Amino acid sequence: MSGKTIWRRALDLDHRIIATGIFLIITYMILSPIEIPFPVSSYGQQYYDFVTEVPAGTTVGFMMGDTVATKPQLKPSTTITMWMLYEKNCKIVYWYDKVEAVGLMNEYIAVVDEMSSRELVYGVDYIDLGFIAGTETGAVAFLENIRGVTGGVDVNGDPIDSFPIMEGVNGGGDFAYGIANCGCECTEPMYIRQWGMPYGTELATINCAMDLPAITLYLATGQLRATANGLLGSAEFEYLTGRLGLAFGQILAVSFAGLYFVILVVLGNVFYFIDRSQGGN
Amino acid sequence: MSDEMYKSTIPFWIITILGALTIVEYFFPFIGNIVGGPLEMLRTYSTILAGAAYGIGTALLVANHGRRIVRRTMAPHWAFSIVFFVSIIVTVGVMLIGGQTGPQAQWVFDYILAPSGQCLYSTTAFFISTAGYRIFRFRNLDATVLLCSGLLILVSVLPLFTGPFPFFVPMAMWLNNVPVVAGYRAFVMGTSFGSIGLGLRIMLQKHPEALG
Amino acid sequence: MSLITSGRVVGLGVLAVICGAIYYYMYQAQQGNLANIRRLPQVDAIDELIARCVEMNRELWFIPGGGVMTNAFVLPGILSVFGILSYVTQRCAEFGAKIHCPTRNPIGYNIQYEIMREAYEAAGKPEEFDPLETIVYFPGGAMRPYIVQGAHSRKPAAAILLGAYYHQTIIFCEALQRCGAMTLGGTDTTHNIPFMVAANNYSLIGEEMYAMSAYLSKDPVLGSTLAGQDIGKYLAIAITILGVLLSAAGMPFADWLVI
Repeated sequence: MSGKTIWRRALDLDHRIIATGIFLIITYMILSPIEIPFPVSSYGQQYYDFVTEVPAGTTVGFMMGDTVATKPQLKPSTTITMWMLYEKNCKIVYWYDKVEAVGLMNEYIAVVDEMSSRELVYGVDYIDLGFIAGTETGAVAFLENIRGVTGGVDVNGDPIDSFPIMEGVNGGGDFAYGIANCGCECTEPMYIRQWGMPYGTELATINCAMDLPAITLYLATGQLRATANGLLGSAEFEYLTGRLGLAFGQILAVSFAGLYFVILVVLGNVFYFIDRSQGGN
Repeated sequence: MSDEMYKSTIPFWIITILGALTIVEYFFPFIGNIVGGPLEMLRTYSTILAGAAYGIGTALLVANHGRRIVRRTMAPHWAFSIVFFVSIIVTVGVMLIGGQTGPQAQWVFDYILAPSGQCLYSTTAFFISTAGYRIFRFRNLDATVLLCSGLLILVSVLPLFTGPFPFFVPMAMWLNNVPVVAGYRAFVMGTSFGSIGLGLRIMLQKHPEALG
Repeated sequence: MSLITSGRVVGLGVLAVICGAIYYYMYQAQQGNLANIRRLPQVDAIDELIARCVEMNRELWFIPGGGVMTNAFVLPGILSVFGILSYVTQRCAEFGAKIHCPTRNPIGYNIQYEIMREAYEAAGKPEEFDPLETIVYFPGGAMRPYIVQGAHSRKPAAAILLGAYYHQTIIFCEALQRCGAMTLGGTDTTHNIPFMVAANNYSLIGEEMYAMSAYLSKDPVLGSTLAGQDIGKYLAIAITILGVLLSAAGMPFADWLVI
C-alpha cells in the first residue's frame, strides 16, 4: 500500500505547528483572560494554615533555593510567605543552596519591602547568610554549625554576631519553623532528613508541582507539614491572602494549555489507532 | 609511591574510614563525642570542596573552548567559542568592578542570565506538547493506566477542570494518597537499599569504577 | 548517655541486617557459591542499541544525568552510571560504533574522561578516542539546546540516558525520538519516572540502574551483592505486614519503630 493515509499525515504534523498552537493559547489567555471558578486545593489550604500558625516574633529559617527557571511559579508564594511572616514581626534567616538564588534574593527582598507595612531592617528582621555549597553535605554542616560553615560572616562579609537576629541561633535546632524553597531539584526529602527530622523543626516547602508525588509520602506521615505546590500553590496562596497577582493570572493560561495538551494526547491516539486499523504501522 | 597507590588505594581507604566513622557516629553517641568534632570540621571543609566544583567546571569550559578555537574544529561553530570567552570576560569583569552583588552584576543577571534561563526552561512546554501528540500512546495495559492516571492528575490541578467538575479533585487525591504513595514508598525503599549496597561495595573496595 | 542514639535503634538493626546479608552473599560468591541473579533484559537492549549504531553508521549518545558529585542525593546514581559507561564505551569501541558523551557533571567529567579513555585502550583502539568530541562538558543550561540541536543535526541512531533527570527528561527524550533514535532511559530519582518510561523504548527504574552497574562489571561477586539487597526488601515486606496486623490490633507499632 503506497502513500500515507490522512491520519499518518496528521500524526507527522510538523512540531512547530503544535508548538505554535500552545504559544497562541497561552498568549491569548494572558492578554484576554476570562473568568473561571477557582477552587482551593487541600495543599494550598494546608500551606496557608501553616504560615498562619507560625507564632508572632519567631525566628524562621528560610532556605531560598529558587532559580531563574522556577521564579515565575515560585516567586509569588515565596514573597507572600515572607510578607506574611514580616507582618507578624517574625525574623527570617536566609541561606541558599543554589548559585542563582544570589541574584534573586535582592529582587525578592525589594518586592517584600514594597508590600510590607513597615521598613525591614537588615540584621534585625532578616539576614542573608549566602550560598552554601555541597547540597546535602553542605546542608548538614550548615545546620550543625552555622558560624563554622559561614566563617562567622554574612553574605556581605560582616560578622553575624553583630546582628541581633543571630543571637542564640547557630544551628537547625534553633529554628522552630522552617521553610525550604527547593526549586525543581527535588531536595525536599534531603531537608526533611537533615533538618526536619533530626532537629524537630516544623518544615514546609515551596516547590515545583513536579515534585509533589515524591513529597506526598512525607506529607502523609507528617514529616513535612505543608507544601506550596508550584504555580497552583502560588495562585491559591495569592487568592487566600487576597493579593491576586502574576500567579493567579498565569494559572488561567496554564489551564488552557493543559486542555490543549489533553486534546493533543487524545487526538494523537485516535489518529494512531485509526491509521493502524487501516494498515499503517 | 606507585600510581595505583595514590590513584586507587589511598582514596579508597579515605572513603572507607570516613564512611564508616560517619555511619558509626550517627548511631553511637559515645563515638560521636570522640570523632564528632573532627568529622564536623571535615563536613565544613567539604563545602569548600563543593564550591571548587564550580571552578573546575569553568576551567573545563575554558580549556574546551580554547582548544576548539585553536584547532578550528566543528567549523563554523568554533566562532561561538569566542562568544563564550567574551561573555566570561564581561561577567567576571563586572563582578570585579562592582562586586558580586553590585548593580552591574545584578544587571547582567536580570537582563541576560535570567531571561535566557527562563526561556530555556519554558521550552519544556513545547516539547511536552509534541511528546503528548507523538509519543504518549495507549499501547498496552501499562501505558493505558499510566496515561489515564497522568491525565487525571493533570486535570485535577487545573482550575479550568476542577471548577466545573469538582469530582476530579477527590479522585486525584485518592490516586495521590494511596497508589502513588504506596508505589513511591516501595521505590524509595528499593533505591535506598541499592544505595546501601553500592556504598558498601565502594567501602569494601569492590567497585573500582567509582574512581574512574 | 545511651549506647545507641534514641530513635535510631531499629534503623541500626535494619542496616546491620542488610549489610550482613550483602557481605554474606559476597563471601559465598568468593567461595564459589554464586547467587542466581536474573539477567536484566536491558543488558540485551544495550547490545541492540550498539548494533543499530554500527548498522546505520551513526552515533550512540550516552547522556549521564545531572547533579554534581558533591550532592549525596544523586551520588549513588552517578557512581552506578560510571560502571555502565565503562561497559558501553568498551563495547562501542569493540564493534566500531562511535560514542559521544555530553556530560553536565564538572567533577564527574574527569572520571568519565578516564573511564572512556581506558575503555578505548582496553578495546585496543586508543587512537579512536577524541578528547574533544568523545566526551564534552556542558553546564546545565547549555545542555538542553545542545541535545535538541545536536539530535536534529547529527541524528544519533541510539541514546542512553542514565542518572538523575529533572525537567530535561521529556525535552531530551522527545528530541531524540523525533530524530529517530532508539533510546534506553533510566533514573533513580522519583519525579520523572513516568516520562522516562513513556518516552523511551527501554527503561531502568530506580535500583535497576545500580543492579545494571553491578551486573555489567562481570564480577560475579558484585552481582551476588544484589541478592543481599533483596534481603532488605523481604525485611521491609515483613515489617509492613507485621505493622499492619499489630496496628489493626491496637498495638503502638509505629512507636516501637522509633525507640
